[in-house]
Amino acid sequence: MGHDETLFDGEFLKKLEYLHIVSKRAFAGQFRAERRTRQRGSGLEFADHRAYAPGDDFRRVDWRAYQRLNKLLLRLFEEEQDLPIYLFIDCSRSMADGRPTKLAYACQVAAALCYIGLAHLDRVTLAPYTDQLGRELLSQRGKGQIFKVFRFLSELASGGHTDSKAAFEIFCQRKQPRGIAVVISDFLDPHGFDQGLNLLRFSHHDIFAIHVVSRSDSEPVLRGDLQLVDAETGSTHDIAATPSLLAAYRRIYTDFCEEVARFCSRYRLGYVRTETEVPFEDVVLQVFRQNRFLR
Amino acid sequence: MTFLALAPWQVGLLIALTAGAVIALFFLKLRHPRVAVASLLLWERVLQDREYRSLLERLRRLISLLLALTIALLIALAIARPEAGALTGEPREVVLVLDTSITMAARTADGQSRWRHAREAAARLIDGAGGADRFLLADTSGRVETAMTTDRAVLDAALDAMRPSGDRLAFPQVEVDGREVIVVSDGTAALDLPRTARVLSVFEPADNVAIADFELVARTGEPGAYDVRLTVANHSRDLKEIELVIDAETDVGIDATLRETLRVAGRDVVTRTIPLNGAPNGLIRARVTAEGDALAVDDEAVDYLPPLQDVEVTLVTAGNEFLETVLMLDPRVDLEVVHPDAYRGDEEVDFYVFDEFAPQAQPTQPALLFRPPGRAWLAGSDASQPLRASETGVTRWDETHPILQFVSMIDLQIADARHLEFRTDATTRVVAAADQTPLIVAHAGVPKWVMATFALDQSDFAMRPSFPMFMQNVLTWFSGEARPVRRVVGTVDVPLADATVATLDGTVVPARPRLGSTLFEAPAPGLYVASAGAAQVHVAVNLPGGLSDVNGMTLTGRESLELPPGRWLSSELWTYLLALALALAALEWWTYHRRLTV
Repeated sequence: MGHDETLFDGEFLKKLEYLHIVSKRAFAGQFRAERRTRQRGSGLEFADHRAYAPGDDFRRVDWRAYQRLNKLLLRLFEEEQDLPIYLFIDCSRSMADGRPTKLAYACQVAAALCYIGLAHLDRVTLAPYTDQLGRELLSQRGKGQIFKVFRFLSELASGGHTDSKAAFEIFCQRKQPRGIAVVISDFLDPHGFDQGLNLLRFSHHDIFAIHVVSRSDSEPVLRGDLQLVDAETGSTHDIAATPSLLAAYRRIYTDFCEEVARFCSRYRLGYVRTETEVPFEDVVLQVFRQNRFLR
Repeated sequence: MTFLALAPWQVGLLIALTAGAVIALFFLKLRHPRVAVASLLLWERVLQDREYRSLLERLRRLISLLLALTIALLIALAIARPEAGALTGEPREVVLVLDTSITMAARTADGQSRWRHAREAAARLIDGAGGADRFLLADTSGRVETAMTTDRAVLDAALDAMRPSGDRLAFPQVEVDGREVIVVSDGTAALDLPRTARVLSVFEPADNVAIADFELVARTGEPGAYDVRLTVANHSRDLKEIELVIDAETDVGIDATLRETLRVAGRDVVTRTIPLNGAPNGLIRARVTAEGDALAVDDEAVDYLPPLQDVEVTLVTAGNEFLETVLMLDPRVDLEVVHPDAYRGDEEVDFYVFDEFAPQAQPTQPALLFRPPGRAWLAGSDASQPLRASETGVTRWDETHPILQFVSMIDLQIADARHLEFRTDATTRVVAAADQTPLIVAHAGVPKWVMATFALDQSDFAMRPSFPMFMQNVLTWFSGEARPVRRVVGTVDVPLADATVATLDGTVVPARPRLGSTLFEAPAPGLYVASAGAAQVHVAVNLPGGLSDVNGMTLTGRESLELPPGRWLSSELWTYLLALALALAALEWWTYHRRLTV
């Protein structure tokens, strides 16, 4: 892809550090981190009481409760652990469309999200996919990994067909810890965009769908008799690009976008649609926050 | 429906090939510009949605194909030049003849002319005809004749080339069987029309006065003196006062003008003989004018007499009173009479006249000989036995030869002539003969000679009024003076090769060479000068008599013709087919750019 390895300026990074990826659910992590979990442990946030049992640490006995209730109760604190964040980046050939390309835009967004996740000690996995999972960047943790992430993203190239179901099947079969699954894609999946998302949904991941669209997708500038070539399959179709045909296409495209949004809404999946022409900083700093994907 | 350009099987083949080509091209997948899109997923939904949405969508390609097919077939049919009688009428073949007699130039009451009306009528006939109607357009003077054609441009050009003239009139030699024959005429020309010919008349009564005849007559006994003899005709219905003016250049005065007013009754003629004072030499012109005269071209007549030159003549004779007298009376002749015995052959003279004598050696000067003895330098051989000429006198003579101009040999009696065997060639011609007996032989070589095979005292030639003229003509011919050529209005033939022709005021007239002569067009009477190197010939062009009667109807009793109304389809069908094809192409273009068709 050849992006600059820095990708973002320092100011932008500073802003990113204040952001936090929001999970609707709490997931179990592996390491101590800043993320609340269901586990009770040595965190700072009070979580509950339980009856004392022999062998418990006397330091955690709630003596005030003993005074009021005359029972030995142990104070429980929330265990703060890291959060698995899986960033699925659609690298099919259709993502090479637009200026900048949808893939480049997806990488920028993914990089920003990675940085946010790494800054909060979350475990970030980058998983490019087409009709299968590509080479992944597994479980990166800590801000120090950001350059590795950048390098990884910069090496991504578009190619192949989209088949999210096949790709996510491979992912789900690995029994990965549940976490936040961010799918960045144009969702132009001939097998149905919902197939892949359903797989993730059934695996109990907290899903965020980032729908990247380009102006050439939504408002194609075509004129005259043309042969349209599918960037992924190479199949062709002759059309006469009349104003009415283009209007019909726009209508269908809008329906498609709304269909994706409706699907996400129905299953309480996070959904953000963004155009490649919109500066990704705005998307990250404003759109994601408005959609409660970041806080 | 018939086809004018192709046979029916050719039309069928053309239509089949055209339709096949159009259909093949239509279904030939033309490679459109390729545009890569992210996915055809949504486009296929759009196209599926549209393809089945309306009947029109499904018919679009069919409509496009039908339009293309219709346009191509219309063009193919236009190439075949179809003709449908129901639309444009059955094709006719019309022989359209325009009378180009000089009376067609007569002015009409509306200030135009009969010719103008005739042209307009012909144009309306052609324009009002069906597109497949074929016309053969010709005039009566034989100048213009087209092929049978539908080409309006050719017909228009032919109409432009026609004009009234004084040429000999005749119905053109064209095939008229099975063809419609229309003659546009004022009806005054005596034309031998085909039985089926119909006449579209442009006649309108008109007044006209004319010089019907004009002649210069040498005055008897006065060599060099001439009279003008002319006939003035009034072709109007009423009496006319006609102003006659004669301009003549003479040796006693230049432009000596004679004027006379003639009162000529309607449809009557007056003949006048008017003496010219002095010896005329140069242009002689007569002109008549009268009020209301509708035709100008016949109001003038011209002639030309070359200036006379003094000549020294030696008459070698044993005694001939006729010759001595006629030569002495000629004012330009300085005469010396010599006996044959005294002839030396070295006299310093311009010409010799030998009377029953001929020297052994040819003199270096031109010579006129009367009944000479046989000599080697004279053409032919001397027959020892004189033969008698026919008792009926001269049987043939060449009036066009310069020495016989104005010379009448009618009833000339010759008692005896020497019979000589002559072989005529380019320089030696028998210009008068009695049966097989040459009477006058002219040799145009250098030096010239003229031989009369008879003696003057054995004929009445010397006592006839034409004898002085003959002598004068011979001397003029010897001196090399070119006699004027007299021609009629129309195409004029000048006996001078590659000549330049000009009017008297120096305006050059377009001329073309033809077999040793030169042709030019003289639309009106006038004097022209033809020049080729040092040679110069004056050409007096006049209107022939008898052509000026603008009211004399000769084509009476013919079926007359009214101009038909124009047809609503006046052009050939192919023009409409092409126009329709063009309109459909424009429609196709319009609908294509709005994606109504593909």
